[in-house]
Amino acid sequence: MAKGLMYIDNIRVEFDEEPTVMAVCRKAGVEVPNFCFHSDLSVYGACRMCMVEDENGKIDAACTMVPKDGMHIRTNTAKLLHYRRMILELLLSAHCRDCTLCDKSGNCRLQDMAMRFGIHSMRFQDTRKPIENDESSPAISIDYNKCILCGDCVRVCQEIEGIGNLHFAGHGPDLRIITTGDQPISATRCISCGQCSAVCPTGAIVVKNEIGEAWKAIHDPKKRVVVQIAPAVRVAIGEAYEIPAGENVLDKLVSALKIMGVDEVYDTIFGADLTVREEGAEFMRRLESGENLPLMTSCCPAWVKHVENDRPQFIKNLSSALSPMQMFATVLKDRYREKDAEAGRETYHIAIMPCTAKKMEAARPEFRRFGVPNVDLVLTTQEVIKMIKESGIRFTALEKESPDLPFGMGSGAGEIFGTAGGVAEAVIRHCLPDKSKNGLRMISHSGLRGTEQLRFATIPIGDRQVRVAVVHGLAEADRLLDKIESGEVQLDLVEVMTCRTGCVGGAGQPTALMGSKRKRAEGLYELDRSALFKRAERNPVLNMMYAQDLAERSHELLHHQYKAPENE
Amino acid sequence: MVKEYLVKGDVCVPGKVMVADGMTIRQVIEAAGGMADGKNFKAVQIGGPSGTLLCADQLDLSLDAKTLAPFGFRRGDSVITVLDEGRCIVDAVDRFMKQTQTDFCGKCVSCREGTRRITELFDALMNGSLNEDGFQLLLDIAEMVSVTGFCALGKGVYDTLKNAYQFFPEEFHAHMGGSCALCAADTRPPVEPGNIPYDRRRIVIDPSLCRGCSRCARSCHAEAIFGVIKSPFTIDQKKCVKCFTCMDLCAFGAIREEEIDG
Repeated sequence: MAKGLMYIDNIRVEFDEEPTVMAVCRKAGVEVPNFCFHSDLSVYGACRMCMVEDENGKIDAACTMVPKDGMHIRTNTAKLLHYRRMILELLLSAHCRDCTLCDKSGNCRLQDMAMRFGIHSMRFQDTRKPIENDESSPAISIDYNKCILCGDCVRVCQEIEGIGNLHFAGHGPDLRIITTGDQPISATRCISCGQCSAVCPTGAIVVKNEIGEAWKAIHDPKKRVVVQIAPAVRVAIGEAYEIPAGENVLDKLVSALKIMGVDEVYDTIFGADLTVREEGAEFMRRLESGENLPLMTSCCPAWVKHVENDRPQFIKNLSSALSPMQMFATVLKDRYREKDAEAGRETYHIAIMPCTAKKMEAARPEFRRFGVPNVDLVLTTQEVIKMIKESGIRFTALEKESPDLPFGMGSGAGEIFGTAGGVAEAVIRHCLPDKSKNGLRMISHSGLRGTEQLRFATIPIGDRQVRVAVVHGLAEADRLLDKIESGEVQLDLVEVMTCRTGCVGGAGQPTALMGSKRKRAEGLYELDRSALFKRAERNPVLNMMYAQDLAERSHELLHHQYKAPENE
Repeated sequence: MVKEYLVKGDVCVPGKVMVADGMTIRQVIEAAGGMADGKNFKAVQIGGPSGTLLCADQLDLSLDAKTLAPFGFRRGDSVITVLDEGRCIVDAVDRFMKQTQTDFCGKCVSCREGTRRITELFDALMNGSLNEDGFQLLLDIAEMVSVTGFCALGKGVYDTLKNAYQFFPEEFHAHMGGSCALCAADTRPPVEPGNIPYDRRRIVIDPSLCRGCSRCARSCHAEAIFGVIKSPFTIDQKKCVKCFTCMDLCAFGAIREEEIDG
């Protein structure tokens, strides 16, 4: 039974748990224009774009209005349009106007809104003092002059990620966003998760654009450009070409990259299989000895950074197995080193990731061998979309092409790395002695899958009940760590993903609402269902490599024990 | 209930005036010693930038929220600024509008950007370079802020301007024309708004009277009131913007203002 009934633009809608009129409007299929409303974040009510009129002619913001039974809401009266236009004009006049030079152009909510409401002229000059850009982060670029002070970044940093690194400062006309201590962002406790850029409606915070580097390498004949593609990318990149979220377009992406001039294209799920095997072995060792439990996954670089920054007591719990991207890169560079020396070529490794923090991970000094970084460049999904558009490739019309061998194949367990809960599931699959279909089914129904931010599951391995937790969003992860510290919960394996819904919801992905992020995750599970083999240990290429010399060299190549930063 | 106001401007004895229920504006001015230098009364501004402006026609109305509601009354910062006939109303309104730039928080777009542009347009008006269209734009923006502003402070921006323009349109037109006789003739230092001791008063909830109905918390524009239903609520002084909405709403008279030193 619904709590009440209301009318949105004469559409009858029942409402139940919706906390605001805005949510009811969305339910009715009416999208009220706004900049600062995100269903995952707290209500802020600053942009004033979502003004609606009720039956008494009272005008108020839909994002703060509480739904009442019998309300008649109008979202598009002449008065409202007039106010909206004026607010937009005011916003735009205090905003830099070089749209053509902006990275966000074409994808910008402010630009989009200005087009929708037909703002063609402005009666005011931009009288603000210019603020210098902040390019210090390896993952994001900040241009404070494009900020419209909607506060989305401040809230996502505090409420979802629990970092609280961005703040409002000043008041009145001098209000602005600053980082903690007003330092360059790299000098703060920023973990490079990039969620601020994902929620930013304008080009104020954007993913660092490194397309130029990529083209330089691709066009350099002395460089063998080798690309790896992360699982979460293939179910999201199609969204830029009107392909529904969750549909696998890996083969088209491979084809596009080949046309662009990339020499070899591989699949990160191969690296994921390596991670599963190493992390699985490590997990079994720790289970036996009982030391440093729970084992915490270290695939997410932003999470690792957060532990180093703020929770150093848990560094010993982090898995020493590298992330799939680094696994892949070390193995690749190791295999190509001699060949390259002979041929006088250099391998330039580009990783296509859904993630901004991977840019930071690739730049970490630990992940270099023989003076060169394992991953030379990380491109986010957004950047690759731009490169494809720049090349003039019609993505939807491309012929399919599968990734190259030998590193182009991986297990279904590798595919689901891209979603929250996937890493834990893959590791459990590897460790579970029951290799039958029933075993797989039992794991998938154990509670590891789902939409909650924090999920628990208990899975019998041998004579032990293994307690697993999956958590996404660092604020939630911090609460879990507190419980682990106080002894309130006992766990053996903890998977942490910084972004909500895991890598599919990464900041490097095309901007999306929660619904399409879930569809992307569903797409990955679908890929797992249709995979040739579901377990990492079935990967034939990997088995061959382990049989050759990888088993002896695994510690040298595939592990890194994180340590607390020395200055603390 | 006796409320405390600060009367300043062109009165003989500027200072605190205790305003009892039913006291008219004329009586309030008399309590402050009457008009200074024997000049005639012109207008009175109540409540600072988000308050309102009244002229001689309203002198005999009593100073309370109900009577003055049609004029956009807000108690605001509880300051009554009295202007005599020698003052230019445009100049006075300009000063109140300027005050928004130092007083307002800047959270919501309409108020932050709106008041910024209003002050810019007022600058143009003051130096005679604003035409009719520009002035219409100014009124338009102010009206937009008054409807779409997040809190009572922003919503009150229009009233002073609207009333001033309604009561003294000729002075605005004189400024648009580029010359104002009053501005030229008045050599006295201007009546500056603001400059009241910061946090002079605070609003508190009397725990012995509060029944914990949460009406105040729900009405609070600044989300400054907290509490558990059926036990006394409290006001977070750091968040309170002193709009007095809660005070007017409380059915138990549990909310009162307190003076603090300094």
